[in-house]
Parts: sequence; structure tokens; C-alpha cells
Amino acid sequence: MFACLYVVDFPVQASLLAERAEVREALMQSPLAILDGPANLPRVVATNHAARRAGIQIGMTKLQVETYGGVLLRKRIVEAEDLAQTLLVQFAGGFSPRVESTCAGMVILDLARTEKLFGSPRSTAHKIPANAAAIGFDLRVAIASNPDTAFHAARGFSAITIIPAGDEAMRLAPLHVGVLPISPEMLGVLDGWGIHTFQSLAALPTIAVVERLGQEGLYLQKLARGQIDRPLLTAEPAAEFVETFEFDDPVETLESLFFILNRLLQQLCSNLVSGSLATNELRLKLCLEVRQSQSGQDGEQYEHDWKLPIPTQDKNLLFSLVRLHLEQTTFSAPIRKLTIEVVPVKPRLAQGNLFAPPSPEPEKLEMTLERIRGIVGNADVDGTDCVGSPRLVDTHKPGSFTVQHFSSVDETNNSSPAFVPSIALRVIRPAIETSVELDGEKPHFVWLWHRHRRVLAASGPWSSSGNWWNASAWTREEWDVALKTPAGLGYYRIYRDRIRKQWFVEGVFD
Amino acid sequence: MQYVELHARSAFSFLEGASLPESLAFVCAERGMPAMALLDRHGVYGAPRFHMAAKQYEIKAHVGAEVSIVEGGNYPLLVASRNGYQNLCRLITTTKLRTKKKTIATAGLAELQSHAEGLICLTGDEKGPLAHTLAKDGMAGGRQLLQQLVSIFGRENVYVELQRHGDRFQESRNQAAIQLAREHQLPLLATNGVCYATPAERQIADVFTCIKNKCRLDTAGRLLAQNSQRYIRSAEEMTRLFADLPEAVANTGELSSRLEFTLEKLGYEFPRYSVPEGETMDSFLRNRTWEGARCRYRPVSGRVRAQLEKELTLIEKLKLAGYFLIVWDLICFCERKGILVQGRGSAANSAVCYSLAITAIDPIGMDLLFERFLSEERGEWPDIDLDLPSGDQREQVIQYVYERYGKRGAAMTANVCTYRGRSAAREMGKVLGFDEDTLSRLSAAVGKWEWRDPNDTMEKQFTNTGLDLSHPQIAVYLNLCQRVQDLPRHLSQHSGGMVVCQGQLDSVVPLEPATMPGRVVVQWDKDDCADLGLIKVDLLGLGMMAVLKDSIGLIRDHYGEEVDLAHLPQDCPDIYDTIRKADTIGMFQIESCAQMASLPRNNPTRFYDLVTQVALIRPGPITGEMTSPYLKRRQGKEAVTYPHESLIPVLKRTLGVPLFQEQLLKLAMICANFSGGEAEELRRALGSKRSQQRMREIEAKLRAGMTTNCIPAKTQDQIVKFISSFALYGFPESHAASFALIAYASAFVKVRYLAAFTAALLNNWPMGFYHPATIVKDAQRHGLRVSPVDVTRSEWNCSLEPDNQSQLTLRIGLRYVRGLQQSSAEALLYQRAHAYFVSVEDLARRVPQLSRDSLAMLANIGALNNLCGDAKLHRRDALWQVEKAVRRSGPLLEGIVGMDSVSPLHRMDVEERLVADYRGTGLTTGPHPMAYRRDVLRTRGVKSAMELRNLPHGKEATVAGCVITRQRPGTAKGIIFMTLEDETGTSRVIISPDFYDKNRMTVLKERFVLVSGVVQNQDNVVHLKARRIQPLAISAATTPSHDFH
Repeated sequence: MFACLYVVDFPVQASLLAERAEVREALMQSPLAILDGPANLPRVVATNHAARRAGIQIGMTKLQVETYGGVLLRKRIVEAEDLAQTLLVQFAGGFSPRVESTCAGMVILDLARTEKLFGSPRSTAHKIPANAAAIGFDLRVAIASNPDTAFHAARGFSAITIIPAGDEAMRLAPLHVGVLPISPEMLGVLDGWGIHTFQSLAALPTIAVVERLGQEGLYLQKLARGQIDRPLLTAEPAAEFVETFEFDDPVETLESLFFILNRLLQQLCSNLVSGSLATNELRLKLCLEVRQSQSGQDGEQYEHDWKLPIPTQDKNLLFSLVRLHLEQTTFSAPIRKLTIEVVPVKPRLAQGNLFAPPSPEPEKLEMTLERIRGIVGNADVDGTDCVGSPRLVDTHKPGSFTVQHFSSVDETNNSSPAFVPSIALRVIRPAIETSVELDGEKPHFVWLWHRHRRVLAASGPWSSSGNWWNASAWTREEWDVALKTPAGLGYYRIYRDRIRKQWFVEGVFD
Repeated sequence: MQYVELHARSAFSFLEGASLPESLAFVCAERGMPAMALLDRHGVYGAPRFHMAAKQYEIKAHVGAEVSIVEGGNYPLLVASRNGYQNLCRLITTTKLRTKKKTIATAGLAELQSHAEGLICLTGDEKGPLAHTLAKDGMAGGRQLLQQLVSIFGRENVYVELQRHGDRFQESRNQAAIQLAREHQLPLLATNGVCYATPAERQIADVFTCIKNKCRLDTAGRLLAQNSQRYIRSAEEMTRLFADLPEAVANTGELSSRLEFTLEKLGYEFPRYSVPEGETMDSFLRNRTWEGARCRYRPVSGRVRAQLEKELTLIEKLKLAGYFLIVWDLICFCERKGILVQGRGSAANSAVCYSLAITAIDPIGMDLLFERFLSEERGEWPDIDLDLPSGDQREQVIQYVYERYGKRGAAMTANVCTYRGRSAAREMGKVLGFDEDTLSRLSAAVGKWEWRDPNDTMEKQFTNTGLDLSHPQIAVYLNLCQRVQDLPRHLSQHSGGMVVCQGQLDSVVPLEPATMPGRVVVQWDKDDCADLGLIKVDLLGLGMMAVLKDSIGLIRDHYGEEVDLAHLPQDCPDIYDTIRKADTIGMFQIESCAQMASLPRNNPTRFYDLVTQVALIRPGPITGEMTSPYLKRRQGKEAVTYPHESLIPVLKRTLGVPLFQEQLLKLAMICANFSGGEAEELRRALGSKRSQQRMREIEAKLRAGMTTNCIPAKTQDQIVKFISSFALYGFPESHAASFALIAYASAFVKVRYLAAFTAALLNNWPMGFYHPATIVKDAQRHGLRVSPVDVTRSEWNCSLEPDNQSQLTLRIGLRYVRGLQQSSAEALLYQRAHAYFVSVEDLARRVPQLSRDSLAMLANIGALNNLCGDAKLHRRDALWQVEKAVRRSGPLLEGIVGMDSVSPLHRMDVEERLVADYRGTGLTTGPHPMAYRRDVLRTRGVKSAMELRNLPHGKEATVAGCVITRQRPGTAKGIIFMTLEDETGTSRVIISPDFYDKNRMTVLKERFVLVSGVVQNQDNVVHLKARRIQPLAISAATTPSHDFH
């Protein structure tokens, strides 16, 4: 016999799985709809019973639902559904070693030889929903002699259904043909024929059905008669890419930590190799032993992520990266627990280019960068990266730049012509605040190096402004001036920040 | 020193300029500049509006354009003479006509050379030829370019242009340009390359740059302007800026004085009509007019003779004979081709037009004001609009005009699409980087209904969507949305306006290809054309003309009678009885809910009542609060009074209430001593959006005139209110009369020849107010038998079949089968003409063009039921056979015949048939869905539409029906009118704004509703004011509703 477990309104239940039991219970009682689709036109993809009672239908737009009022809207989270499906498979695994993850919210399990553990199929069927409720699932269960009959019975009938062998066609008869795995076109044809139930489909002459609907029609008719038997496609256990180790006694030295870390990474890399996978992201989480009085304060956990330029399976490289980082880090308390995770991706399949200019191996470069970061830190006070290469920002504002990671893609806008300077300007960073005496509009004296310097010649004003649409609006007026200095004639660029109403010396011309 | 800006672009450069031409002219005048040149990109789109504004501010408007050249750069070209203007127009036309839509039109240097006469070339800004060449080939290239320009335009016609926007690279380019100018002894010219009138508009220019480059302000980088200096600078500023080069500024004044040409001297000439030898156009027109008059007026009375003589003399004086003859020629063409045509608009005020058969209204008999059409003072061309059957026949006339005047001698006028609420909200949001979700909320929030709450400002709409207006970025957003309102977005084609020209139209205005193949469009809209004196003939498609034309054919074929629309029996009592009962579904102009609600009150008994009826339900009379007084006076419930006794002759016909524009003109003439031309000018000024100042001046003049005539201040206010309400939204009496003629004709044909009229109406749908489902049900209620689609009988169009009692039955055509291609249907008809189909399989085999879906659809709607002769199939039998017929069984089973000739499927029940009918054809020929539930509804106390009509005022009642229209008129203060249909007729429900807010989804979405409320029965006009509404589970059929919101 086979049992099919069906989670009704699966996207709704999956979205509530993370909630506490009483919250979940309360939310299921009030109208709730799950939205999905493009951001400009999200539509309802699932509802709970309360929402359906309130008139919410699948396919409604967000705006339409909002006019009803009092309906809780949630965005569909595919990850939450994947997690819920995994949980469902694990749960079903508790009743049988042979479990098929049939589709979202549905699993079929083979009950053969499970009688000694759980009793008759009927008693198993009654145990399942009760146990499922404890982990947050509201289930329907159907038991039948073949997987597909169980599948359709679970979808079509509420609560628990048990179909004895030989009664399949009779018991499935009242179900609507929409329960079948049927294409919209085929459903349209059957609808046009007035064939709405399994019974009416099963009753059609078989040859006539084949003549009109082909093998697909025949398959559907057999399903409707409960005549299809097939083996289960059981799920393989998923490889683990997270390793955790909890120390008996909190460790205070890095050596002890490294020893365990090395072993865990060895295991993770073996898992990657056996799955023909690699990783380009490593996540480390350390739980620190903090005194009771300090619990909840910052410092209880330490987390760090590494993003690698290319996927790797090299345990030594991963270990070196973590070691280098931890050697530069100080912890406020001993380490109690260690969790390390690698994100599996497909390994890079590329051949080196004979004619490419020599460059450091990405792995070695990453190690070097990690060493530099250990010295200079990750980012400055403004949040700008400290390690990487500078990139000019595409703006009229002089001197605007950003720092990009070496391995990241250059996203600068190349639509404007490149600026090719014909004269070198040594930029003073930050610009020197100064005062300027004007003659009409032109600078006459500039305060520089503790003295007023007469402007012998001035070219300008060169004006620019931008970002008028946000808080970083700027507007400036530049002058290139020749000043008399003790070292002789000096050529400078000065500018006036019109918003701050302040003059600056920006640089000196070579 | 004098300075003239000679290089400016307006928003008509489409995303490359940020100010309207009027703003540029205003600021130019404000800065004391005597002249300015508008050089829009790739055209002279903004030139007429700039010209008109410049005239108002007394500055000189120079004309020019920036033209892209294949070799690189946009060449700024200034027009020096009329010859130069013609060359420029031809050059732009040549390039535009060979360029695909949405790509930049470029000319070759050789083309530039052949069109160079009369043009002055500047070396341009950073996108100009000199900057382009210097960047590419350096000084050597620059030298070569200048030599080339000199050889093309002549040394005296090339100016080296300098602009200073505080940009180092621009200045280095300037220095190179100065050196080259000195080497070639060419004059320097200072310009500011104006893109906007004031510095603040740089923001709009930046926004347009983003829209053009499809990017956000945040990511646009150096595509945006470096600063805000491309505004209109005064002479002082420019003199200071070019203190080192005073000659560059001085040259602007000198060059301006060389530019003689303005649009005042456009040189437009309407085509001459070729007349037989020995005749002049005037004599020829005169002869045709008298010939026509003798036919139309029998006999030609002294009054007619005097009027015709007056009109002909004026036409001769204004040299307009050619125009009348050309329109007459179009009428003759239509007559030759059997195309129905009727002039409308103010042309119907002319006895000459009536005599030439251009119009069908006798202006003398109706005492219409000729000055509304043509007057000596006004100095503008008359406006003749021709109504033609929509579709192919209108296209035939348009193509005839092209054929007669040449591809470059005629063109459609343009229509300027501008940024409006919703488009502005969306585009500005995109530019500021709002996410899709917010953009959708914003677009949805900007009102959709025709009616707008007076407080429904953009601020309020945005607040309703949850935007925080105090947030700086939202404030910027709102500000931008408001500032881009009404700026031009793109050009499209006007629905029917055509301009023709004596020489070549492309020497008057550049032409562009329209999206429709075979059509060209001018760069100006209809107002621009009118402002510049270009004569326009409006060839408008009118669905009802096509219906009448088709009806005449059907009547001839099936009733054996000939109907002549020009000589219909007038004032037939049965026709007016029907109209009075508001039984007018399908009739022209008098079928809308509002018209139906006023017909019993107006109680029309003769043709002139119809004329007033057509004019009555218009925004002008409604907002001017004239509709209600008129109807009350018609019913004798209110005394007929006049604002002033001098107005009795003018307002007597409309019971003291002005309903027509002509009355407005006469009001001004009598009360304020205006001449006919002045009065028409008053109407135009009040009706124009562009001339606030002019409107104030004319109103002052009007009041002054009335004061002179001792009209009290209160009466003056009333008269001014009449006039201002009417200016924009009122009908001229002649126009109303033209429409009333068609309305009467449609009523006549419907009442007398219902089958023909209904068939023609269905064949010309979409048109009018109602969906075919309603039209069919209305016809059935009037006794017409309607048969469903049948592949053994139906044609592509709906057709008429005599039944056994020699009564005509309407057969629904194959055109109503959803998804059925006309080519497939024609293949079916072709095969059927050769031999009848004997089975579904026979049909599928002989007409392979019919797809599986089409066959299934035909089977679903019962169109295949008669395929097997006497052995009548039911719909599911046919469906069963269709599936087999479309799936070839292969050679093994091919020979086995009749294995399962009887289908195991059950017949469709009533509900299934209804669903299939509405899904397949949008209508049903069987009973109305409501008829099946009448017994149940009656037990619940629900009244039918017919029963509702007999209920007294104030009584509570409940009705139920299928929603066929939902309307929220702009003049009804937010009230929604809903029409429900059942098997006995239609009932109208009034939904107040508060009630709508509470029942929004039911009002908007439900197909069948049950409404309870209070009956409003006034003067046999019955409405139900809704107090409760609920959805009704009558049928799952997708019944259609025509919603106006």
C-alpha cells in the first residue's frame, strides 16, 4: 500500500512555518493570501480557507485584493517552500524508508513492511496527521494500492481516505478531472465535452478516446480508473555542506580551534568532491562563551563570510583564508561552538589561455588581499572599501571615485567619452579650505601657505553642478590661477563650493 | 550692444529641449531681445507656436533647424529667405521620408549642397560639425570643413559659432574655432545654444536626457548637463562673457537683420482648381452653385438668391473659389464611387455649401448665421469637415486626395501628444529610479474616470498611494511631474485633417512618414496649420455613415425598396414616437444614457427638436446649467424668460436658453455691438487654451459694449457665463443640424427596416454606445428574429434571410466567431459555394485553414449543428467529431468508418449553451440569461425593467439584470450611471459616490447584480437610486459591458 501526504494550501502553510504555533493558528483563521509574479503586477497564487471565504481568488491582483480589506498579504518565498518540502520529506521518512517527493506539498510513501512498527495502514493513516500537526503541517492523507490513486485521493478528498484494492475506480469516481495532472488544453477539451468527473472520463470508450486525445488521453483515463501502477521515485539524502562542532570546554587558543577547523573543512571538501561540486563562498560562525550576565550583548557570536573569485575544492586554501583572518581577530571570550558552511556551486571548467598576460593565480591573489585586509581593515569610516582598485565615477564632479573589489566586474558607464587630461594636476586631498578676495567676479588674492598671494592671472569661471535631485547636490565654480609664491610662479586650481559658500585650493599644476 | 540669440531649441526638439516655444518667446521679450531664432532638431515643429508668441510679444521669430548630416554633426541652419525656407523644408522632408520611424534622419553633404540656397550655416555647438571634425581630425580637418562649408553656402553665409558655458574643453574648442575663423576670414558668432528659457529648467532637460537614453538620473553620469547655463542670456551677460570678442556679439544683430524670412511670408497657396477654357474659378463656382441651388431650392426664392449672391461675392472677394471647388470635387468623387458623404461643422451655415451638396442642411430655411462660417474681418480660412463612412471608403477618399495632389502635395496634420498625469507620473518615477511596484501604484492612483473630483490634485493622488510628500525625493518627484505637464512627448497623426497645397506642400512645411503605410504627415498640428493659414479639410470617419450606406444596400436587396437619405419623409410621427419613448438603442447621437434620460422630457415632435436634442447633452449646456431650464420650459414647468428683451429674436427658438454657438455670436452682436467677425473671434479666444490675455481683453470689450447698450451688470454676468460655457464645448447649430439629420436617418431606418439596420450596425461594430449583445437583444424585443452562426448559412458579415412567412431573419455572421480569421472564413465560404459540407470531417478536410481551435469554437457555439443535414447534431456531437477530424488516425484505422458515429457525450444544458455563446461570439441569440430565472426572481419581489417603468416616484423597488454599461460622466459630480438589461428591456441605476466607495468591487466587476433602492420617476424618465447592491449568480456567461471610465 502507498500513502500520500498532501499539505493543503502549501505556499500558505510554508510561509507560516517559521511562526510560533499560536501565531500560526491565529493567522490560519484570518484571511491570508500569498502573492507572486512581477513586481509591477503581483497576483495571488495561494490563499487559505478564510481568504477564499472572503472572496479572494487565485489570480487576483494585489490591488484587487486590497479593496477587500482585512486580508493579510505575504510575498511568496521559494526558499521557505523548499525548506518546508524538505521538512515534509524528513517527516514522511519517519514512517517509511521509501519516500517520494512528488511535488510541492506532496509526498508519497511506501507502507510495505511497516506494519510491525506502526500497525495497519489505517492506524498509520491516523497517526500521520496528528504527528504532522506538531511540526506545523495540516495534512490530508490517502492510502491506496498504487501511488497515483493515493495521490488523487489525497488531492480530491479531505482528511483521511483509505481505498481498498479493487475499489479504486469506484472511489475516485466523484473527483473532478482538474485533480488529474492535466494540461490546460486537455482540460479545455474535456470541459467542452461536459466531462467533469473521473467517472465520466473513465466511462468513455477507450478506442474513441485514443483516437481523439492520443496516448495522453488514454493515460488520463487509466489514472481516472485507478489502473496505473508505478514504482516510487525515492528521494536521495541530500549532502551536507555545514559542519558544526561544540567544544566540551571553551577553547582559548587558536591552535585548538585550527585543529578542529582543519578537520571540518576536510569533511566539507570531501563532500564537495563526492558531489562534483566546489564552493565560492565560505561562512564561519563562532559562538563565544559569555558570562550569563552578559548574554544577549554583542560579542556572543562572531560571524564572517568569504566570497571567493573562483569556485574551489582546495581545503588548504580555505583553511589558510580562515586562519589568516582569525589570526588578525581578537575575541572577547573563549569559543564554545564552531559552525562552518560552504555554499556548493558547480566547479569552474576553463582552460588557461596561452596568450593571456601573466597574472597572479586567483587563489594566491585572494590570500594576499586577505593579508592586506588584516592590516588596513575592510572599509573606511564612510563605508568605502579599503582594498581594491580605484574607479572613476561617471560624473561631472571632479575627483569622484570609488574602490572596487579586484575581482568584481567593472560597472562604470562607458557611454560618455573618456576624459583625457592634457595637463597634469596634482590633487590635494582633502582640498585646502581658503579665502579668496575678488575683483569683480575674478579672484584677486588667495590665502595660501599662511599668506595672501596675489593672483597674477586667472582663467575661469568653469562651473559645474549636479545631483540636484537628491541630498548630495553640489555646485562649484573653478578658477585656474597663477600665484606668486616664494618658490616662484605657481599654478593652482581653486574652487568655490556654492552650497557651502567656501573656497578651496584643489590642486597644483605641474 | 545688441544681442540676438540665434541658436535655440524648444521642447519640440523632443527630449532635446525643455521649454515651450511660448516660454522662450516670453523670456526673450523680457530680456529685451529684439529677435530670436528657433532651431529645433530635425524639423520646424515648434516654429508656428514660436511665431505666434513672438508676434504677441513683438519680437521677430527667425526660423531654422538643426539637420543631421551623414558625415557627422548636427548643422544649425538659419533661414534667410523664403527660398531658403523652402529648401530647408524639402531637405528635411527628403531625409525624413526615407528614414524609418524612431531612427535619426540624416542628409548627405551633396543633398545639403543642393538645398543650400537661402540658408545660413553655423558651425554648431559640441554636437555641431566643427566640434565633430576637430575631435576626429584636428585642426587640419577643421580647415577642410570650413572650406567645404564655404563652397556649399558661400563665404558670406557661414558663421563660426562660439558658445561659453563655463567648460574648459568648450573653451579650448572655441580657441581652435577662432583661429580657424581668422585663417578663413569668416565672421564669429556668439550664441548660447539655448535649450531652456531659464536656468531652473535645466532639471527638465536632465530628465529628458534620461528618458532619451533610457537611464536613471543616478546612473546617467556625464550624459547629463555639466551646468545650467544654456538659458536665454541677456545682451549684457553675453557682452560680458564675450568681452574679448565683441564682434562675435555684434555679429548676431547684423545676421539677424539679414534674416528676412518669417512664417508671416510662408507662401502657402491653396491648389487652384482647373476649370474649362473660358471660365474662371469664380465663374465656374458661380455656375455650379446656381445649378445646385435650382435643384435644392425649388423654387429659388428672392431670399435664397440674395443670400447666395452675398456669399458668392464674399467668396470671390476672399479668393476662396478654389477651395470650394476642391471640396466640391471631393463630393463629386464620393458620388461617383457611391460613398456617402456629408459636410458638418460651420460649413452647414453656408447656402453655397448646401447648393454644392457639400452639406445637407438648408441654412436659409433654418436661419443659420453665415458669419459663423466665413467673415471678411476674421481673415482666416473657412473650415469644412466631411463625414465619411469609417473604414475603407474613408481611406479611398484620402488616397484620392494624395493621388490628385501628389504625395508631396497633401498630407495629414499632426497631433502633438504631451506628457499628461499618468504618463508624467510613470516617466518621472522611472527617471528617479522608483521600483516597479511604486510606479504601478502611482500610475494606478492617477484617476481614470472621466469625472475628476475638484480636489483630486496630483498631491492628493500621490498622498493616497502612500507617498510621503515631505520626503525630499518625493517632493522632487511631484515637482517634476507638475513641470512636465503639457510638454510635447511625441508626434502622431490627426484623425482626419488633411492639408493640401498648390505647389509642393513640402516647401511649406516638412513632411514625415506616418505609421500607417501610404500616409505622410506634416510637422504641425491642426491649430498650427490654422494659425498659419493652411487650409485643412477634415475627412472624418463616421461609423453611422457606414451603417446607413450598408443599410441602403440591404434594403435594396431584401426589401426591394430604394431609400434616398437626401429625401427621407420628414416628421414621420412613428419615428418621433419611438424617439420620444427613448427607444433609441443604436441610433446616432441619441442612444446614450443621458440622451435617453432627456428624450421624454424634450419630447421631440419635429426635426428642429432633434437639433436641440443633439446639442442639449453636451458639456457646454450642462456645465452652463442650461439643459435643465430648457427641458423645464419645454414641458411648460417654467416660464420662458429672456436675459434682455433685445435677445428675444435670438433666443426665441430655444425658449430663452442659448444652446448653440451661433446664438453666442448673435448675443455678442446684439448686446455689445460686435460685428460678425468680432463675435467669431470672441468665440475662438474663449475657446482657445493659449490666449488667456486675449480672452480678458475680449471680455472687457464685451462688457464695455453691453454697458454702452445699458444692459445691467447682473445680466452682463449671465451673458458672459453663457458665452464662456459654450465657447469650448457647445455645438454650432449647423453642426447639430447635420448630426440631427443623421440621427433622424438612423431612427428612420431602424424603425422601418429593423433587420437591415441591425445587420449593418453589427457589421460595422465597434461603434456607438452598446455592445452587439445589447443590440441583438434590443432587436429581438422589437420582433426581429435572429439566428445563430451556422457554417451552412452564415456569411462573413451578418446577413438577412427570408423565412417561411417571408419575414426577414438576421443571421449572425462568421465575423462574430472569436478567433476565426477572415481568410479561413473566406476559404470556408469558397468551398461551400462549390459543394455543401456533409460532415465535420468533410469540413475539416476541405478547409484546412480552419484550425482545431476554430473548429472547436464553431462546434461550441452550435455553428456545426446542421452539417449532417436532417441528422441534426448537438453541439457536443460536433465537438466529439471535431477532435477526431483534426487528429488523423493513420492508415490502419482510416478505412474504418462509422465506428463511433454516435457520441457518448450529453447535450449541453441551457447554462452551458449560454456560457459557450457568450464565450464564442460575445452574444446569444437565445433567450436572455435573466429570462431563465424570472420565476425565481419574481418570488423574491424583483421587478423586471418593464415593470420598473410603471412604478411611481419614491417607491422602493428591486431590480436585477446584466450590467451593460457603467458610466461616470465628467459633468455628473461623481455619480455613476449603470444600465441593467433583462429580457424585457433596460433599467438605469444611479450610484452615488459614497455608495460607490462602499461597494466598489460589486459595482465595477460583477456581471449580474441585484439592486434595491428608491424609484425616481420624473416625466416618464425612470431611475433607481441604489441603496443596496449585491452580486447575483445568474450565469457564468461572460456577458460584455461597455464601461466609460
